[in-house]
Amino acid sequence: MKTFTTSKKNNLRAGLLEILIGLSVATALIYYWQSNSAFTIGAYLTSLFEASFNSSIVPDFKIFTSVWILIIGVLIVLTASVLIHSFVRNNTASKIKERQTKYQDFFADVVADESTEISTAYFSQNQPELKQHLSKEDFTDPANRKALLKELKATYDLISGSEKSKLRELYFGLGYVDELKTKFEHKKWNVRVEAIQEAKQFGVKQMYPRIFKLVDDSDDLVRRNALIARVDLDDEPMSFLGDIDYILCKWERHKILSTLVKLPSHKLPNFSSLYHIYPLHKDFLEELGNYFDQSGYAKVLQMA
Amino acid sequence: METFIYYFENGILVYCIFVVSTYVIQGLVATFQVKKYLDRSSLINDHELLESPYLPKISLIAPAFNESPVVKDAVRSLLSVQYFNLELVIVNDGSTDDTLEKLINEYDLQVDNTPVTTHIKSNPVRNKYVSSNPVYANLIVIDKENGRKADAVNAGINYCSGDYIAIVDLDGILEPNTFTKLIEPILSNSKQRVVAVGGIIGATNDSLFKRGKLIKIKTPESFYPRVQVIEYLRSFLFGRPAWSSYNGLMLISGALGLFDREILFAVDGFSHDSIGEDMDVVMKIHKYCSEMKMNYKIDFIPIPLCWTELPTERKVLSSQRNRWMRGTIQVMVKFRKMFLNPKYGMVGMVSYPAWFFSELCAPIIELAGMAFIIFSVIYGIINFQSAVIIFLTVYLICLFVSFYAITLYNFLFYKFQDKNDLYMLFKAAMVEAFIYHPQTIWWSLRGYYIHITDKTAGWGNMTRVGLKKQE
Repeated sequence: MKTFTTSKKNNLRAGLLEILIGLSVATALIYYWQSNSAFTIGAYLTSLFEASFNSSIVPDFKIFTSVWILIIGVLIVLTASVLIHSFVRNNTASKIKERQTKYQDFFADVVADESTEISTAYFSQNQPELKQHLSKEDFTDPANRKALLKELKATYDLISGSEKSKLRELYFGLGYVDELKTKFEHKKWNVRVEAIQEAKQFGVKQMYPRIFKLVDDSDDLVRRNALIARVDLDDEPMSFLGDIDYILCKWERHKILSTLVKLPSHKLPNFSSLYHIYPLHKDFLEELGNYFDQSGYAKVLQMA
Repeated sequence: METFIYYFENGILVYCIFVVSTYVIQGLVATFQVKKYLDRSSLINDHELLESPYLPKISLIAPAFNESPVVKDAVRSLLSVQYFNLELVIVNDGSTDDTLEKLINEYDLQVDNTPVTTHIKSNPVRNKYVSSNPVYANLIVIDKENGRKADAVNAGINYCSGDYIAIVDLDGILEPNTFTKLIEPILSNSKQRVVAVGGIIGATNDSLFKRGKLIKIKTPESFYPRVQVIEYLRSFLFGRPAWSSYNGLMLISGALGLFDREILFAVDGFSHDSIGEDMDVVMKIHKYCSEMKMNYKIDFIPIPLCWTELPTERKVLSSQRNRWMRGTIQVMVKFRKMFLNPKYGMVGMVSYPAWFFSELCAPIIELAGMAFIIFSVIYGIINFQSAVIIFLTVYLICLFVSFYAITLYNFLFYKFQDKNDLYMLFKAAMVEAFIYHPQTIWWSLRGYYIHITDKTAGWGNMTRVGLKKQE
C-alpha cells in the first residue's frame, strides 16, 4: 500500500498555496485595472483593447470587474478553507485518537474495578478533580466532556450486569443529566434526538415527561425516537398510539417491535384488545399479536 | 438584423442567468440537503435494519456481456454486500467469450427448469442456472440471447422474486452498506411510496483496492477521468440531491438504482429501444405514478454508494457522451407531453423544462453564443474588450461552481485523504473550460447529428483499464 510522505503533503500545501497566490494576484490585477491607476500591465491591456477595437456596445466595466473580484474572492475563500480544513483535520485527528484511547482505558478500569459500587475516587460529584486517569480538564473542557460522553455511551452499550450500573452512576456523577435539560429544549433537531437517545440509554427517569412531549415534535426523526423511547419507558408501552394520527412506517414498526421484544412479558398488552381503541393502527397491532403469540420470526417476515 | 442581434444577445444573457442561477440554487439546496442527510444518518444505526423482519427482499440484477476477465471477482464482490435478504441475478447477455463457462465452473451452476411467468418482453432466455452449492443459494444466472442492457435487465426482472429490484453494473464496486442505505428511505417514509432510489457514483480510476474492496480514493492520474470526477461531483452533489428534494429527479444512474418491483412491472420494465434507458425508466415511473395520482417519491441518497471506472480514452469518452446526448434527445422527445404540463407536478413544471434548457439545448446554445461573440467581434458589433469581459465572467462563474463542488465534497466526505489529490482537482477545474468543455460540446453536437442521420446507431464500446490493486 502506498504511504504518504511528508514531501507529498508539502507538495499539496505548496500546490494549494500556488492556487491561492495566483487567485490573489488576479484579484490585485483586476483591482488596479478597475481603478485606472498607473499600474503598468492593467493600463497597458486597457489601452490595447481600447485602441484595437472601437464599438458602440461597451459593457459597464466596473460592474463586471466587481463581479470578478467577488467570484475570485469566493474562490480564494474556498481554496483557503480546504487548506485550513486539511491542516486542522490532520492536527486534530491525532489528538482525538489520543483522547479516545485515554477515555477507553479509563472506562475499562472502571468496569474492571472489583468493587460493586462506583468509587468516589474517580471523581467528586460537585467538583471533579484529578483522580486516576483523568484530569480536571477532562471534566470541564466542553470538547473533552463531549468525547468522554461518547466513549461512556459506547462502553455502556458493550457491557451488561453490575458494571453497567457503575457506568450509569458515573454518568449521573459527571453531571450529564443537567446538560440533558438544555439538550431537550435545543432548537437543533439532532441535539434533541441525541437527548432522547441518551435519556433512554441511561434510564434518566426525570426526563421521561420531556421525551413523551416530543412525540409530536416538528421533526420526524425526533418524533420517531421519542415514540420508540416511550414504548420502552412508559408503563403502558402502546399508549403512544393514541397520540399519533399517521400510519407507522416500517422502520418505526421494526424499532417498536425490537423494543417490545426486550420488555418483560408482563408489560406486554393484549394487542387484540387494542384494535378498537386504536383502529388506525389495527394492521400493526395484528402483526404484533401474531409475532408474540406464535413467536415466529418467519411469520412476521411473511407478513411484512 | 439589429433586431435579431438585440433579441439574440438578450436571449443568450437570459440563458446564462438561468443556468448560473440553477447551479447556485442547486448548490445551496444540495448543501443543506446533504448536511441534513449526514446528520440524520449519524443518528440511525444501519446494522439494526439488517436484523429486522421488516427488511424487504432485494433482487440485485447485474447484466454481463463479455466480462470474462472480471466476472468471478465481480460476482464474489456482489455476493458479499451486507444485506441478508438479497438475491443476486446475473444476466449473461449473449456473451461471445467464456463469461458463462467461468460462472458455471466457479459457482457450481446447474440448469434449473422451473417454469417462469414472464411479465416483461425480452430476447429469448436460453437457460436459467442455480448453484448446487448452498453457500450460493441466493445466486441465479440467466443466459439469454444478446440484446442491449435494457433487454438484459428486463430478462432479469422476470426471474426476480424480490420486492425491490436493484440494477448495478457488474464492474461497479458497492459500499458494504449500499442496500441498507438505499432501503432506509423506503422503510422510513409512511407518507409517500418511495418507488425508486439512486445514489452517488464515484470514480475508481487509480484508487486502491484490496479483494474487491475500496481502500483509498485517489484522483485519477489521466486528464479525462480527472475532469470527469469534477463533472460527477457537480452532477451528483449539486443536481441530484436538489432535484430529489422536491421529487423532480429525472435520472437515476444506470450504475446503481433501486426500484419498486410492482412499479417496474406496471411500466413494462426498461425500454428496449432506448439508448438512455436509465433516464427513460425514471421518466416512465414519473409518468405512470402521476397519471395514477399516486403519492410517490423518487429519492436520492447523497453519499457515495457505488464506485465505477470512468473512460480514460478520448475515443471511448467521445462515444459515451455522444450516446448520452442521443439518449437524452430520445427521452425528451418521447416524454414531450410532460413539458410544462401541471398534470406531472414538479417534473412537468420544473425538472423537464430545466433539463430541456440546461442539458438538451446546452450544446446548441453554447455553440451559438460563442459563434455570436466571435462574429460580433469580427464585424465590430461588440469590441474585443467586451468579448474578453464576457468570457472571463462566464469562466469565473464556472470555476466557482467547480471549486464549490470540490470543497463541499472534501468537507462532507473527506474522501481525498491525500491532499495532493485535491490540488490536482483544483488544477483540472481551472483548465476544464478551455480543454475539456469545448470537446464535450462537440461530442454532444455529434450526438445530435447521429440522432438525426443514423437511427440505428447503438451503444458503442467501453474499454476498461481495470482496478489498481493493493500490494
